Amino acid sequence: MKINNNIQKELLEIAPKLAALPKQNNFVVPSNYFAEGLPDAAIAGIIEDKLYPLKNTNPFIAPENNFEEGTAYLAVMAEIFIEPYQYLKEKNIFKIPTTYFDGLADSITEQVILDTVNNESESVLFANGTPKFSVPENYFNNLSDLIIDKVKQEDAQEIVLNPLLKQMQGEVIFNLPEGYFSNLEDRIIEQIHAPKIKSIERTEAKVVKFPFQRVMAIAAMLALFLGGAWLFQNSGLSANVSFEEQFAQLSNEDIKNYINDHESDFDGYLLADAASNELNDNLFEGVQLDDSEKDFYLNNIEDDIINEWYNENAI
Amino acid sequence: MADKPFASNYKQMWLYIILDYYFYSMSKVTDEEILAEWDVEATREVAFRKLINKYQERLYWHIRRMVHFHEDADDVVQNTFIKVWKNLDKFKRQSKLYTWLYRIATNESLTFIQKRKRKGTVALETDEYDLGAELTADVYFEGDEIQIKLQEAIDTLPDKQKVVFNLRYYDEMKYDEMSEVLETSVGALKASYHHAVKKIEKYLTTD
Repeated sequence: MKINNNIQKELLEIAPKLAALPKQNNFVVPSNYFAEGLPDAAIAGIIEDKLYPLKNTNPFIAPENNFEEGTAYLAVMAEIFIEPYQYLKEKNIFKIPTTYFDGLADSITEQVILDTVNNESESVLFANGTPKFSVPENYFNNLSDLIIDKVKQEDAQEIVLNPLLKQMQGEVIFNLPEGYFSNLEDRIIEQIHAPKIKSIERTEAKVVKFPFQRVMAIAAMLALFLGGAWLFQNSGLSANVSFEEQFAQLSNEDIKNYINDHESDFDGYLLADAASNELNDNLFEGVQLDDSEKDFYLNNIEDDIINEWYNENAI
Repeated sequence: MADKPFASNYKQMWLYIILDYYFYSMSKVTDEEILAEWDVEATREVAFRKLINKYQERLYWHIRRMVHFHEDADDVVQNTFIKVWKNLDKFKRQSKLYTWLYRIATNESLTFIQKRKRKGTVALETDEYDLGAELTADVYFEGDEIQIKLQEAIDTLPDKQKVVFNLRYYDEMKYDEMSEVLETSVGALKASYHHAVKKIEKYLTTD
């Protein structure tokens, strides 16, 4: 009774809902099974009938319980079940070559001679035709059973926990907020339906502030198509100098002002892409990391760190 | 787990009875029923809710024992179920559903632990980190001194061995099921558990 109370107490601590369930037998049998089904008495009657002649004529001593569980019982049961199929014995389904038995004696003799010739020389295994190593009688007959028994024993063996570990096994040590599981499902469903929209909004917000250096290179190409003449006029440059040389002489302030004044003319996604490349380069400046390591950090970097970087480096 | 508050009146008492029956009936939902409902687009979310209801506690406690703290376990369990949502179509149904779920939960827990180490917010691999002190300070931890020592002992194990120990010691999972979860042979798992138990015993008996 004491043991049952401890188990119930343990169960109550670990699984109160399970502990609260009434214990009942949910298994059913067909009606009148025990009255009309195949009763043990009928089987016992068949066995006794078969075994009666064996009792008086069998000179061998049978092991204990042989007739209930041992080989005699199995043999009788086998005989009962095989009886309908006895006729199959008479039909030989195996085929052999037509002159097989004619040459069998010669081939066996030849094999014996070869083995004798091999065994007569001194070898690791044989000395004067006699094997050096021997095995117990019927060793190979029993070997497979021995191995299977050994495997079963090892499977059955459990790691024995020391009493202290055993005692602590059922103790509840971790706690959690009240009602945690009642709203977990809703929070998970909410996350499944919500996340993608937030990430798009965040990207668009970042376009407002973008880093300076990389954008300059993109702005240079766009400036060719949108405001090249205006820049040249204001900077007082000669028409005989190449665009690259002239652009190189432009101040950062000029380009910065142009981009700010003509922000709507630039491709937002192109600038955001440049911004992310700029961020990547600056973040890993002076640090030796391969691409997979950089990817890991980028995927796990906190948003507030990114925002802080933008705030410090925005135009 | 937190205790249910005492029902101060009959209405509350009936509410708890109905909720208990609801959760009991949810636990009776079979995996086949869940998967059959999942296969129909219109009932997919209903099936997913039933799946969460059926497995949330079991997966939560498995995760919690890995990451220790409720806030971390909360993150990981949600990530686990989100991953389940995204990948349940790819579940081949040749193994049991719960071993597949355990595998995802285990991988998410291990990924979380690795990420936590790399971020450096918790110096888990250094001598300065005191798990015992962290657990003692945690409002959601109720173990005594020996329980803290056991958690510290488990924490000294390599991550995968920690999983093996937890699954066997706490969840009493069979080795063949564990083999499906961890995709490791039964023999290797038995050896791993044996070594884990020996290490923990030694830790507990050493001052």
